[in-house]
Amino acid sequence: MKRYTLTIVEDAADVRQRLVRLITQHTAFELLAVSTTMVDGLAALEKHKPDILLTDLGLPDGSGIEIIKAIERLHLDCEAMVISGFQDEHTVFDALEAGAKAYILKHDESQKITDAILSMMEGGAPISPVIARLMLQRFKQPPKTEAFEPIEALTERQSKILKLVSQGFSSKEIAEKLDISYYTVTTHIKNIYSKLQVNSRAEALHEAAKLGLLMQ
Amino acid sequence: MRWRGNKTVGLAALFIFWFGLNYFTLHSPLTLFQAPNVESIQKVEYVASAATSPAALKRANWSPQLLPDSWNKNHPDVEQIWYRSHLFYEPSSDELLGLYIPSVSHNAALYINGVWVGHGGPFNKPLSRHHNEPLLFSFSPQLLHVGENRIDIRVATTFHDQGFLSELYFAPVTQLMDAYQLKYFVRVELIRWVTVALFLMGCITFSFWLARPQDTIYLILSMIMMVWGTHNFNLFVTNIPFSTPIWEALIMGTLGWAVILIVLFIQHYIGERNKRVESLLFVLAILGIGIFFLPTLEAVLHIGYRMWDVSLIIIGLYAEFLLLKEYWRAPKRDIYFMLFLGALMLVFGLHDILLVNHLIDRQEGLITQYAILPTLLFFSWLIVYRFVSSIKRAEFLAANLEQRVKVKKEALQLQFEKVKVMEQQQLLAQERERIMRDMHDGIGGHLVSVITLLQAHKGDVFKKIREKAEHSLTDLRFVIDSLDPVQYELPTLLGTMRMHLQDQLDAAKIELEWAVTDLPEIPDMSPHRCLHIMRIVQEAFTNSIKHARCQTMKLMTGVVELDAPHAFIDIIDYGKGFNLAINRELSQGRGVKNMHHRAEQMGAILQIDSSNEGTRVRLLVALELSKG
Repeated sequence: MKRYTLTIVEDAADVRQRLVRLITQHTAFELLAVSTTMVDGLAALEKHKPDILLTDLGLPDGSGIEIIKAIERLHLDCEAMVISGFQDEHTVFDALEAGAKAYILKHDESQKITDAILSMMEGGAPISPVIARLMLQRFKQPPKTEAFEPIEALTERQSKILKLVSQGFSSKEIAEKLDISYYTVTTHIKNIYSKLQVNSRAEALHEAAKLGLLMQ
Repeated sequence: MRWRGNKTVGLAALFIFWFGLNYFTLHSPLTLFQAPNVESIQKVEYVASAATSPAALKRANWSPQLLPDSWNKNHPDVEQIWYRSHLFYEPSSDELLGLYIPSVSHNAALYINGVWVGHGGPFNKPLSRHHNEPLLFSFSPQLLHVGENRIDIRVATTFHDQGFLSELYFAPVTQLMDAYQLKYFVRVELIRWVTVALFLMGCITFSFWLARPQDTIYLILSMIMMVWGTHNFNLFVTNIPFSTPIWEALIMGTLGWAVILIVLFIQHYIGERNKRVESLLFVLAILGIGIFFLPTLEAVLHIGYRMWDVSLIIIGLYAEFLLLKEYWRAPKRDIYFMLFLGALMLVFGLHDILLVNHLIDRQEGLITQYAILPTLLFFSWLIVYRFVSSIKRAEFLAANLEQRVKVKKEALQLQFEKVKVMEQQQLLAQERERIMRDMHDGIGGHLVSVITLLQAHKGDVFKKIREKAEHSLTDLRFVIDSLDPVQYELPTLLGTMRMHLQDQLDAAKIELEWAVTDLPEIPDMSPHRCLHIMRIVQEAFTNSIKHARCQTMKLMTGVVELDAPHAFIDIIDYGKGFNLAINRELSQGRGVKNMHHRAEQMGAILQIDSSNEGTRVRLLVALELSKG
């Protein structure tokens, strides 16, 4: 069985130790590097090119979001997962925009954490009502810049799924309600994540272009 | 096309008017004034002589002459002529008698039987000028003999070829008065008053310009009025204050400058200022001053009547062309009216030029002054209209401004309120962020760790501690969630609660049927209200999990019309239920009391129905803000 390679970036010692223990003990994973800062995390990512990046967001020298963004920049085949604190969905949302594919809560049970990582690698996409609501808001109004038109819009089906998630329905219930498979629901959610990232990247480019124009 | 058609018709009307006016003014004799109803004296004798009294003419050589007598034709080289006529008089009454001379150039004196009766003015230089003024000499019948009487008229002109004497009328004054007075009024009186009016209007317009120096058009108009007013002096000032050449130069200069100013006025009015033409006009105006420096009266008249006046006609034609062009571009009524006035001025001006150059009978008199009058009136009206319009526009703008300020103010107010709300949200978000940071590895994390640790330990005490810890964690989550504006959407709030409740439900092996629907926005949501709703829902779930012994629960939302639309949240368990009256523990326990209290606090309605088939807790939240 193929083992997924991992790097971990986490500054809190207890959480880091717990995660290291958890990963090293699990047969499905191979831990390549552990870092405590953004700079080290970036270096490890570039050097080891892991399958999975597990990163905290609030790092002493910057945000984990920068490491997540580097995946795209370096054209790595790597899935980013956010180690989130207690009820931190707004921050998680920012990470999703940057390209993260999933998140775990650092105080979740061990089983839950490893399950979540594996589920991500099998194409799952965790989501909560708050994140779904934030997504709907994000896609509804192209934010900040009036001139910016989001490249990717949600399909009707995707909107419907997000709405149901935001109302507290589980993926299973949604599948039943819409008469589609559970797998289709998660695929949709994953696609929504990608669109979110595309739009956010396009918007960043647009902003940069505008700034460039102003600088001339 | 209809537009163009109207334009063409308009221009056709203009040219018909122009040609008609031209014909009646220049090609048919212009008899504006009725002659007195008496026989005129036409057959006279004359002698060209510089004599100052008839006594000096005893040995003169008289020749016959017919009146009217234009010297330019008959005696081109003389400056004074004596005319003699013989009248037969039969006394009938003591009525005052009169000799009426409708037109003379420039001055006349009357002698009857060698006795001086009167004159227009002094004959010494500068000669008194009566070329525009009829003369009526009245005298007592005692001056006449019964039978033949001799009448001598001394006529002098300032320049030899301008001399002229019209037919004469001899009759009692009463019979001559009407004709004389009418002509005097139209020729002199009227023009005098018009001149006064021109100066007055010129002053007013000039004060307009002083008030608004950026509006050059006021200055131009005031100058036209003043300059033309000065030009009019020629028509009623008989005893000129300085020499004839200078006077003639002044009259010609003012005529030219007025025409130049009129062209400038039109350019300004249309708003199409041709700089090259303006420079040319300026040069011409300067050249006009040159007339004052010409050495002789002959030179003044020659240059003035031939070159100066002809160039004025050309300038006038250019002005008319400008107006035509503008009219063709945008056919407006004011421009159209100006075109008519322009035609009038051109024809009348041409008439006068022909007259002073002896191509038209001098008896007709000058007429340009009658064309300038409506023109200036119209210009003045235009300016007043402009002035009034701009005042009206200013008033409208001011009124509008008030309205606009009001609208803007309201918009600002709204904006301000929005900003206030946003600021509050921002503050809330910051506060939430702060609490979150505190929670991140702080109390929340610790609680989670404690709970995880306790899970490994069996025993009642541990279980109780764990329950307490879990309760604290839930409370903490509620507080944090209540600060998140995303949770103001009731379905999202319920969805989030479901996530947190799921572990409890799983532990109790209770299946949850989820029936949340779209709900309208709850007005006036706040962290406070959010927290109340969460705690009421949480309490309802806790009660059912603890006491109902059910296997299934349901959460349902919807909208119901009471006296006003309300959103409802039903938490239903299909358990054993409880009798509200009997089950004191439950119905009066702190939990249910708290639920009611919270509902009351947030202005919601709480209904609890219980039977042996289960319990339904219904929370009703108004969807409209209550008035007052």
